Amino acid sequence: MSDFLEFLEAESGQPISRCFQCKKCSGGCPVSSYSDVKAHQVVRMAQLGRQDQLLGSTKIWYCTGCKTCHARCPNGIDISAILDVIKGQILNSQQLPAVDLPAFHQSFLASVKRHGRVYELGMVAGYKWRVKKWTEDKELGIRMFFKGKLSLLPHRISGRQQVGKIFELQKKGGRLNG
Amino acid sequence: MAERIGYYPGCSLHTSAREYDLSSRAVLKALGMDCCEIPDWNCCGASSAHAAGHALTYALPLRNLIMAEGVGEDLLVPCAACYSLLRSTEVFLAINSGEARKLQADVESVMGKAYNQKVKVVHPLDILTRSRMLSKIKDKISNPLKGLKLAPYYGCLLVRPEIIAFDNTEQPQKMDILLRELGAEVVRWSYKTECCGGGLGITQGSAAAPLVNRLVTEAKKAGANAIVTACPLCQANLEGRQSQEMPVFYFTELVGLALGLPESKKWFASHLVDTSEALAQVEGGLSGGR
Repeated sequence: MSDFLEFLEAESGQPISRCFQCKKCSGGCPVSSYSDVKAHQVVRMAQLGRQDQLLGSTKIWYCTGCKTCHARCPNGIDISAILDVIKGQILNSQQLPAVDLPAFHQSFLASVKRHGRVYELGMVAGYKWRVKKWTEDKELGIRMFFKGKLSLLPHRISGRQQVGKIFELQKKGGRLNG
Repeated sequence: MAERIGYYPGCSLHTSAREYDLSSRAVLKALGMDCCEIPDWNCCGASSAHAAGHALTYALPLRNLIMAEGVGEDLLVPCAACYSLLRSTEVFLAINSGEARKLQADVESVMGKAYNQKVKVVHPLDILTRSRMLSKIKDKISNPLKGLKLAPYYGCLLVRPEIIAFDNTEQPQKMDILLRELGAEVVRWSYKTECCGGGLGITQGSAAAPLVNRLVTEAKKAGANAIVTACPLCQANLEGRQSQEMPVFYFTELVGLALGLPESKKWFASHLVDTSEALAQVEGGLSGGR
């Protein structure tokens, strides 16, 4: 068993070794057609210890976390949980791949850490600033604004310090101490 | 006397999904339940925290469960993503693994407050489909949704992961049962639990759009006038990214309409897709009319 497989099984809690490649996961995966590494291939690469290939894939970030693969897997493997471990490693290493999704997660978590809740407008602005795509979806944003679907100011909670300490727990005791 | 129930709105229900918040509270109030928002709740982290690590995934929801203890025995969570995560956390703690015990102790020390695992996370669909509640709804319907053909759309997180045990993961029925009770016709379709790509909505709109349009096309093929959801992310994604004109309702809005609540007009006005055509047959029954 490779070290990488051992690490992934322990961190994700998923019985990766059980997979016999029936491919039901990829059959039901909503992003199969966008992905260079399909769901069943993620598991196979993990079994073979192909760390570089998995960490280097820009398309694993397309996983929406819908968990259809998990619901249908005859071996009970949650592939999104395996990908979360890989994504966590990448986010912690700060060596982000050339894809916009990690920047979204960073903006989202920064917003929660700062306000205790997601400030949608600020979070989206933070994301756009990170990826330098200011005009994308401008019209949708304007439509939402005029329907009263975006609040201009953040809702801040008074337990922000507690939330900050919870983020620290992840760094200190979390299993993904990167 | 109104029955008190803890209420966790989550971030979206205070901003982009206000109509879901307002309609949930109004409908439950009309049915004799008083939603008490839990004090100083925080974002549960759904969307992103799972990618940052295990501890954060469960620690953020746990702070809310601790805040909810004492407010009411049940904690009502309308947002499908928040529901899935808070309920998963409840189950994770109940399994009582070494990891779960450590996490609970850590968060308890941050909060300076013990947690007795008394909170039961429930979804409004759980409550509204209890037999006592269904008969109450039946008695109170003043504006049955006759002629409305609806595609119930559960999406991902209301039914998955399996451990939350909300309903069958492939063929859930709770929303179907409720909508039929309101007098609407529920269409049969195969896309009830297919992902709409909402998680890609902000970052990869071009990847989400085909997933959205497939769902809308299939709902139309099945004969539906509208899609019904329980998820703010699905609702925004489905209405915002479709190239057709099919409204996407929260099920609570339709319960409100069937109960003849006059404020339901305001909820429908905040949709990105015009709802008047789909509702033309039934909206006249509201007091005051159009």
